[in-house]
Amino acid sequence: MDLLTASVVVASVSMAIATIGTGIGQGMAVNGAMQGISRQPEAAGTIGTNLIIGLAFIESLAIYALVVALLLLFADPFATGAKEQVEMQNKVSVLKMKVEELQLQGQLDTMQKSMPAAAAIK
Amino acid sequence: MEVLEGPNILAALWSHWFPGFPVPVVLLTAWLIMGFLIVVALLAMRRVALEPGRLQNALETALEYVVGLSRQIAGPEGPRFVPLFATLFLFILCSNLIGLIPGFVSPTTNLNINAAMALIVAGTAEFVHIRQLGVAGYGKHFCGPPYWLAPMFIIIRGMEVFTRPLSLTMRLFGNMLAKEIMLGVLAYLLTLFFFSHGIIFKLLAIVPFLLRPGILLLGVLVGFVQALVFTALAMSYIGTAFEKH
Repeated sequence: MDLLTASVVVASVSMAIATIGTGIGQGMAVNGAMQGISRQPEAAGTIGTNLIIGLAFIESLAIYALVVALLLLFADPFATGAKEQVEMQNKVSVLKMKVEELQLQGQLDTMQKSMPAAAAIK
Repeated sequence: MEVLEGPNILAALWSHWFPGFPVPVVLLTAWLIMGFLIVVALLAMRRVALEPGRLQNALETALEYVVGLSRQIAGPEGPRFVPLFATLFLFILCSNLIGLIPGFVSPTTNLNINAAMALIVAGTAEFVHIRQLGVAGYGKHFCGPPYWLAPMFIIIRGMEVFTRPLSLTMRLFGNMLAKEIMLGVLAYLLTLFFFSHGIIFKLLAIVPFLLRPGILLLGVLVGFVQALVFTALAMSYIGTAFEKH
């Protein structure tokens, strides 16, 4: 697995793992808030405000994983070298194929000169 | 994120009027929102009546909401900082919602603008804390109640000072950027309808076609909740300065 593929895989896996813990934590927080509101409905305003602040704190854990995933996908400092390497490899392979084509063309020309019967191959 | 910077009407207008002086698109959008908020506030303040009109009524409702929230979260001293909180709330709300209009980019998808707002909040919180306790009292609070635990408390409180603006920045940035990337990916999948071959692949385009309006509606909710969360966390950070130690 090269570095680009590894970045994509790690980005998705990190987001998935971070979502598990954050989901459990937010579920527990909402559970507690709902129980509190059902026992004491007049405190719904205060509980709701504090719930939103608490959920924001829990949510930031998943957001850190998201930021890391976005860095890996769009602004990976390690993958830029890998991208250049892949581009250079593509260029080199294209050049190699051109050289091979020229060599084969030369061989075909010499064969056609020596054997007139092979001139049908074009 | 050069992925999100497509052709933009603001950037085109700016480069037409002021060639040779390039300004980032997010900054242009932020200036547009600032101008919009200033003009709306001036229009509402032009004729202040005891029986408010529609515009004055809407702004008064928003302001009363922020005042009540600051009293609830930051304590009785909270309403002193309502200018800061209300500005943050309205600016973040408008800049979150402008990203849903095609052709505009949310300024909050840029890390620098979020970091600027978070640094303003963190700086205000520390300044208020120092003014409340005095320099010696702040240093004493920084080192913790038991003096033999001072090395640990200095590390913990120092980390707190640095992670507060970091988490404020990253939360807004991650939420807004994730929403915009999701909308962009769905729009890209929708264009595949015209470029794909085969009836199956053309029928698959109905999924983004149905999903994208839902994500837009979710974007309105997320924009409001994130503006509320940023303001509420700013209130709680500034409110810690007034707690009894």
